[in-house]
Amino acid sequence: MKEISKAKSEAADARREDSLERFNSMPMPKEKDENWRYTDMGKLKLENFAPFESTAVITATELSEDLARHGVILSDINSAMEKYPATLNYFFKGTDIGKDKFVALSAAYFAHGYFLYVPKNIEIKEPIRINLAAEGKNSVLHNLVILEPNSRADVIEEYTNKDIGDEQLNASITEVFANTNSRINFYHVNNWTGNVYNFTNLIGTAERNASISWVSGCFGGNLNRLRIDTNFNGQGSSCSNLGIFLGKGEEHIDFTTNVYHNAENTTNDILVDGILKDESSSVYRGLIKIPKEGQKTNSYLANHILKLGDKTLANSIPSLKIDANDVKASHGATVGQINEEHLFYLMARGLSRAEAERLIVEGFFEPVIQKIPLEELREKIREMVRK
Amino acid sequence: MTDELVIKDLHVSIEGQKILNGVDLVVKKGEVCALMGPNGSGKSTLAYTLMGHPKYIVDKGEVLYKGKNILELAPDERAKLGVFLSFQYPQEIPGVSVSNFLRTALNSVKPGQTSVPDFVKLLREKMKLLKIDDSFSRRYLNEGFSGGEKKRAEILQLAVLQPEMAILDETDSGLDIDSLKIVAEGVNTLLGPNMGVLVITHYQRLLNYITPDKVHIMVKGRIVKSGGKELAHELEARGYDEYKEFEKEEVV
Repeated sequence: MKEISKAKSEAADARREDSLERFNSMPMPKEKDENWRYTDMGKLKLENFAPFESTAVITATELSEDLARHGVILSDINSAMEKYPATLNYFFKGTDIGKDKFVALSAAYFAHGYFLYVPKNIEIKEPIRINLAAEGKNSVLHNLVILEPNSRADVIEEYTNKDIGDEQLNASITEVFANTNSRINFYHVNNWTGNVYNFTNLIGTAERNASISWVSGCFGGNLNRLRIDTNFNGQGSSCSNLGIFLGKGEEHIDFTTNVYHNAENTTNDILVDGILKDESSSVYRGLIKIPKEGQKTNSYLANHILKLGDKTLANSIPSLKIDANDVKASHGATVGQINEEHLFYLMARGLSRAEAERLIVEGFFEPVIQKIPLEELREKIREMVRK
Repeated sequence: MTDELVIKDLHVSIEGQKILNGVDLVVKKGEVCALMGPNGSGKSTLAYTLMGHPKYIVDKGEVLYKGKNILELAPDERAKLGVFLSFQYPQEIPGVSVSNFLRTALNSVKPGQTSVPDFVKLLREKMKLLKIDDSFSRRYLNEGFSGGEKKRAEILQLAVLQPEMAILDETDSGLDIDSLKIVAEGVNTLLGPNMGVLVITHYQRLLNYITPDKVHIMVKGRIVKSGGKELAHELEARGYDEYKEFEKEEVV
């Protein structure tokens, strides 16, 4: 692993200035806004964090000579913007920064980030690892991943923080572009400790026959928001999306998946499972949007929440917006309590109530974990759940 | 301290309805007792009450085992004391493998006694005994199991955990004759001087394979007749008709 935490570049400065005005003009999100329902933003005072000076350490896999020779690039985002100005064309190609105050925040103030470029026909066999550690009051990041046609990569990004005993803010965007026939497995795990407000946006764009597989896990933090938007821009593109979250204490998890089927014959499959303990709360929002251009789309989403205890609060808002007439789309959501008969059965075999609950909790996630293609990640997520 | 399970004047109700109306029963260590009775007589209520199901409310009486009134203990504490219930309707637990569950359970009732390799060996041996395929241990506990597989899984748990006081609640229900033989043979190999067994059954069928030392007949929440194994044969021949009078009797 090597450090890629360079924090300044003139190209970035120019870019940030463009976004600053936009950020300033946008109001703070309110609970009545469709994209923020059931998330109370009242406690977060952005002025406490201004001017959002970012302190973060990013370390990443050191590329083999062979990959470097074939044109694979893995560097900090600031150097990339200076050396390869064309990367700038990709900034916010998949979204409008005006859609989300915190996307605008990342755009206006980002200081760190990573850039991964996989040239045409290159297949990276070993997963690329990126660790992003927030070390101060703010970490504001912008990451960019570009896969050229027929390329393939696995990326594992993992966010953590050093608990500074004070409020911390993480705002990050990762934009993933999967060009024609490319495939990416993208793993996002965040694991916060202490009083962290996290706003992470993953934005994927799949061109013709490209495939994006998201796997994500959200753990810890005061307010932990992960929003994953996927654009199907080319025919035959596909996406699978597995999400896991675990709330404890008074944590609030805000998990959003939006898919936009802008082309024909696209396929999407989403499964987000969460467990809430203690007095934690969550909201899951899942939008499937199929405009007229999205004929012959198959799109599914499922969300299951297991509530432990009466003081937890779960909200699930799946929605379909369909303007095409030849599509298959469905959504399902369940929110349930732990089954007392299951507990009794396990306790009758000698397990204490706590042990029985632990087995049931681990078992709840197991069907999702089994679908994660990478054993290392399966074990990592099991470990996070056990903690 | 006694290794007998002693049930004294046990009265139990569920959701305000009285089910057990003064049960007295003793199961000795090394002994097989059969509890028979018509549907609705309270046999399963007794089983659940002995294990501590929270829905069953004990109105009166006590159950003594190893010097304790086990009615005051949580279900897991009863299991740790050596009490085991083979469920009539085992629960399906998603995502928890048979093997993971059994290892956790064994570590709970007999902490620190079995290493992982020893456990794997023990589990294989017992699965072989019950003619259970190796892949079974990786399946999720009872999920998608047939009726017969569920009952075999219960007896597998009995075999691995080796309790001292086992209650088998309608283990024969839902079993075809081949599965019944395998399950009964499995139970027979586990019997011995260190285990007391209470076999709860509606029919005499299971008792053709597991020979009881004593037979008790329960009607309307009370033991109305006790005897040797011949009592089960009498029931097989004559049915429960002659016990109908007990159902009419008012219970004070």
